[in-house]
Amino acid sequence: MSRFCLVFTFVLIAGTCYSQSKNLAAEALYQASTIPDSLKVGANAVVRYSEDYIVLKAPGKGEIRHRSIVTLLNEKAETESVFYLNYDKKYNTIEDAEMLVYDPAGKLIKKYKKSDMYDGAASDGFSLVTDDRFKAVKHTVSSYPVTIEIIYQRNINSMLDLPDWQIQRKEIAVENSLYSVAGGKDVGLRYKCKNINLEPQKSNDEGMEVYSWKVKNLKAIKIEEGALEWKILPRISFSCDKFEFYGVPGTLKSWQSFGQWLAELNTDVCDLSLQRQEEIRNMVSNLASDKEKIKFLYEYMQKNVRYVSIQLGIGGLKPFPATFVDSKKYGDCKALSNYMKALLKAVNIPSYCAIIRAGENEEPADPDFSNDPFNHVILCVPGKTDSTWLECTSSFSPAGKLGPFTENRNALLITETGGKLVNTPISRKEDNVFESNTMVSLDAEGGAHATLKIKACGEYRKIYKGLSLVKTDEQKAYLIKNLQFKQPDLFRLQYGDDKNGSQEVNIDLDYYKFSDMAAGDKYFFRPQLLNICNFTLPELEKRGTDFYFDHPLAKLNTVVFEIPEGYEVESLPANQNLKCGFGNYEAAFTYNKANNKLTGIYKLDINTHIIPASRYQEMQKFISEVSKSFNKKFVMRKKTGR
Amino acid sequence: MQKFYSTFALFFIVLNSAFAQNETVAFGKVNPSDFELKECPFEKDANAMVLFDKGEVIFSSRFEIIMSRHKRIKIFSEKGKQAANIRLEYSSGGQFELLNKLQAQTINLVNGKPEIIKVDKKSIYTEAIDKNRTAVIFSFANVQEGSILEFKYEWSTKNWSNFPSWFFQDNLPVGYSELKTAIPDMLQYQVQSRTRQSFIKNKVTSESKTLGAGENALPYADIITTRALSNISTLHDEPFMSSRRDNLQCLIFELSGIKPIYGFADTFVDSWAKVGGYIAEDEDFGGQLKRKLAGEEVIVTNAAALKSDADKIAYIFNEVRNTMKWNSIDRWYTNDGTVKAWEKKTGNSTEINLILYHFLKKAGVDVFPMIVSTREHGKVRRENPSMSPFNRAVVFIPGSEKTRGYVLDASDKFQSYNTIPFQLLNSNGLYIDKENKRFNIIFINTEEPVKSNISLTAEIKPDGKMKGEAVLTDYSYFKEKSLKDYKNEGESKYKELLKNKTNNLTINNLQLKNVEIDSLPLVQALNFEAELPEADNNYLYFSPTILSPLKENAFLAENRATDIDFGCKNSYSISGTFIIPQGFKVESLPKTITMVTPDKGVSFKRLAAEEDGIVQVRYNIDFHNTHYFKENYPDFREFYKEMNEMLNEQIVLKKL
Repeated sequence: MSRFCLVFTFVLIAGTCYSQSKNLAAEALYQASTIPDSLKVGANAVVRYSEDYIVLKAPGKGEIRHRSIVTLLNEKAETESVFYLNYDKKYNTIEDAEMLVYDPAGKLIKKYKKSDMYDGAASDGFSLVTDDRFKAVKHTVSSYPVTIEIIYQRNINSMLDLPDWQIQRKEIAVENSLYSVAGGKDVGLRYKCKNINLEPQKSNDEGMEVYSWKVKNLKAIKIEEGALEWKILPRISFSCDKFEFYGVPGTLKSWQSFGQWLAELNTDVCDLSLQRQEEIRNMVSNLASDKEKIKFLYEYMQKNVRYVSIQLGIGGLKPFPATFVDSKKYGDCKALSNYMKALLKAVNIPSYCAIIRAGENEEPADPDFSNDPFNHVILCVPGKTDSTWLECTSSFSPAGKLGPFTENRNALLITETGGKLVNTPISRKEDNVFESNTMVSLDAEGGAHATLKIKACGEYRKIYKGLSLVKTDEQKAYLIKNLQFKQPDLFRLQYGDDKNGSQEVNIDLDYYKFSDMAAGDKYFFRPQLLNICNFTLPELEKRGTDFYFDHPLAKLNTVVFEIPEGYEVESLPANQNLKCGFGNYEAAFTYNKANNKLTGIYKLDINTHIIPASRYQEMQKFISEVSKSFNKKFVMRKKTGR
Repeated sequence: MQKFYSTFALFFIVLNSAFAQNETVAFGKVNPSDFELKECPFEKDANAMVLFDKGEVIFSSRFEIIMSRHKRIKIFSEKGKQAANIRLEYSSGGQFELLNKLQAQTINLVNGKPEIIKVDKKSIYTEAIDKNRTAVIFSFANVQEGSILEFKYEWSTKNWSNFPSWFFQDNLPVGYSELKTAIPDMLQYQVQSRTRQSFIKNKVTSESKTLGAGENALPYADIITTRALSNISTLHDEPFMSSRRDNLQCLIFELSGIKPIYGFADTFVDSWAKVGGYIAEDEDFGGQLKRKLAGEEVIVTNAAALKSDADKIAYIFNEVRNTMKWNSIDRWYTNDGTVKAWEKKTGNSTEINLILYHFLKKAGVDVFPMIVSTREHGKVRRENPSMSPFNRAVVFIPGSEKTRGYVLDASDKFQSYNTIPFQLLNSNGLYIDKENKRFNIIFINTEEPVKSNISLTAEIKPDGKMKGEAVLTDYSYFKEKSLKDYKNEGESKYKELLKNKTNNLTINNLQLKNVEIDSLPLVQALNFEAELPEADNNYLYFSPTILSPLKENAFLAENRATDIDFGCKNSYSISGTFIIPQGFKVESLPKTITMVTPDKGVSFKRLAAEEDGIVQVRYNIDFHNTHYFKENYPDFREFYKEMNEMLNEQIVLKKL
């Protein structure tokens, strides 16, 4: 029987009932031996067959039927033996769910019914409370290969858009996969292919438009280190012109209309009492410019309220009222952004909440395809020349600095006239500067006293802010490991000023023995206390995809060694000046005989955080050379013939 | 499966009886000095602390256990606000436990006066975690630096064997923690007091009570005990601490007997023999031992053909280990039973090991099932006979004067039959000899040091390149770990692990030998190349301890709250032979040295010599104990620091 027939049969089954007896060709899909060798290359599992049929009869009302047969080839595919499906008690329900397990010969060995599944409250890892629940069951695989069939049917009564069809996940090959979406006339179903070009078959079914895609024999894809999955894995995104979310109808026809809907949701939550507004005006009355007022109120908000995530029902998108945050002093990203907006509103500074997909190097929204890829809310205060962006969930971000969590992409601004996609700032190395000044006084016995002053801004400041949360002992251990300095005998750590987005950290170290080696009258030292390039990139013969750092950076380290009396520097490392298309590195050493001081200046700049695949080797070599240079030494010896 | 005792067996008459309330801190009433507190006096780096945590456990007139709890927290800084999110979980299934009367409030000092902000009912969420568990969740309002937060609630259970444990120690430092219990003398609880600090309050009184009224009133007494600790530091996870469970200061109550007012006393598990007897009779343990397993004849016959017990053990162990997949569940009893587990080829650890037991027994090996506790689950304390510390069953073969003994656990794919499972070391196991009704507790340990050897030979070229070969020999637990890493990480990541962050080192031709031979160590042979750094053109440096696993120091922390428990005694050696290039001479060689910790627990030896352009070095690091006391930590840390320096000391070559 030809492949075509096979697929055809399944489509028929999907339309009616799953429990019909399988035909021969279908049976082959349960047998591990029938997997083509070409699909096993680099694959931990093979999707033998997958089929989804989604019907959206009316806006926000739909049904998803899913069936998949996946053969797990090894332990790395173990998670494929887990069935996990989210639902909630009111709107999105699981009608039917089943997981079946087959041995390599295709014989059914285990069947899990819906009633066998664990039912639990879902946790997103950061929310205090949500109303998401899940059904799950795990099959313990005793040997591989094993084939898992998952069948479920779920009803949707609230949604913004449909989930993406993730055609292929990493390190999983796909033998056959089908996806059909049917939308009623007034739903306005749309789709967009990402990282693949795939034309659907269009048809009509009871007045609904039906789009059907199929793929065959897709080889497994490996994601290289530092590459972004969303840029590589093929998928199709969906959206509907009309939707219904927790009973509230809306439209996603355009970014404008989606923003309009969100704006309406937010209308009744942004007003503080007149008395509070008055109080707020008084707080900033002596400040002249809007910039100062924004900074003042942002810091006021940071100091007074805290981030607590509570996501219940419509509250997943509609913020707690500003009055709630004002009295309780907590809220989630949208509640805090909305509160900040209310504070600014009280002093006549207009601002807009902006929804965004947060996360380092996350995907921007597609200007040509309005849907809901978002997971976070920030605030944008438009200015005459440029906008001020505020991350309201951070208790320490400087006013107007977002950081790589939300930079380098667009956000949907919620304005009176609807949604507008605007770009957030580009990450700059000037915003992520690590600067350190070290003074090391060596003594004649090879010991030393060192003082280290660090100034950290941007992401580096964030590290030290986070670090100060843990106990002092752990902070010190982290610093020794991360900055790679020699373990001292005495270690004093102090957090200094935190001004203008720059955190000062002062470290005082004592060493009975600072030299790495000693030979007679000679001492050998590393010519730096800390390492400003403590990472390398993997060596690869060939790089297929772009490499992403979290952010561009600038690091500067100055070190002065005071040589004790009676000693001098015998030899010092050669100066270095390395350059590549994405950054540069300098190390310069000078020995001043007159005052007996050795100065080293280290500078590392990485100007952009995106390294194209074609130039990965260049960057890899550069970083490798830089990290190598930290293995060098200088030699101090006793002066001769006095 | 829960093993409980029924509640209402003994009492018929239910009447109200009030318990006298003792001195308590009133809800909402704050000591002014608590407002002034700016930091935790005994843990200065804490961002918040528990001012006090008080619990009172009584038996109600219906003989339910009721715990009233009142906890007060102080926020010192912005970073401590996390402590204002509270989640209280309890076992709600079948109303096994109830949580009631929750009240919570923030107390801020506003213009010198306390201002109380209550958490309103609407802001208290109830989450049905699953069918058995519920969480009550809330967040305090208006939390500022300096805020005082407090909450109280009542927790109750009808089940006497569910007496609440009391944890003095928390994720925050605790200023004062007190548990008061009033227990009717008809009920006997064995109390495990896992405290290191001494009680500042430890008072026992008794109070006469009656059950019922009038002529039928039955007299009994409440035994009232108050125990309190003060200034309890946070327990942080520390490297090589045995487990949190072993180290958290707490009180654990176990129902050990019921003595009705009239009638015979009934005692439960108050000796290891009783615990063993109970387990031997349990359907999900003792009842599983003799069940026939499908196809067992083949395995038993194959085993019978082998000559020695050792061969039989090896064969059966490998059969079971390779066939069965552990479902990651640890219980001391079976869930589905051995027959079903064997059929499905998966099971919990006890199912797998009872299957192993069954085959060995059938094959005529002198063997017993033994219940144990894994390291993470906490140690079994010999002085507290009880069922609760166990979470797994393994197989015990006592051995004799002529033959060695074994502790077998086939639930781990990397475990070999001839090493005692690392998970179980330095704890106790209770083995079950059902036939002879012999139930003995034994200490599980291994005396023999576990070795990891590195042998290097390399040649250094005048251009600063080093090329050489290395042989790494890993015994026992080192073998297990290396194989696990190799299998889980894949070869290229594993090589990175071997390199241990050494820059400019490449590893080629990695070969693993003796992977499948349990009786031999893992031998890893490899070639390496390194580029040596230079000062100027005059000097070359190289480290003679390439590939050493000891280079990273886990003991950087200045303070230590828990003992160090390595599980076993470790013994490391590194030996190297390096050929110096023509035109260079050795400028500096590491000194030959021996160093031991003051308690003689660890020794470090280094030998280095040079002859005819060949440098020979040797390092031996021997841990003579498995356990190092926190009291000796300063010495231990200093030793590690110096050892680290010595391991990192390089050899310097100078151009002639």
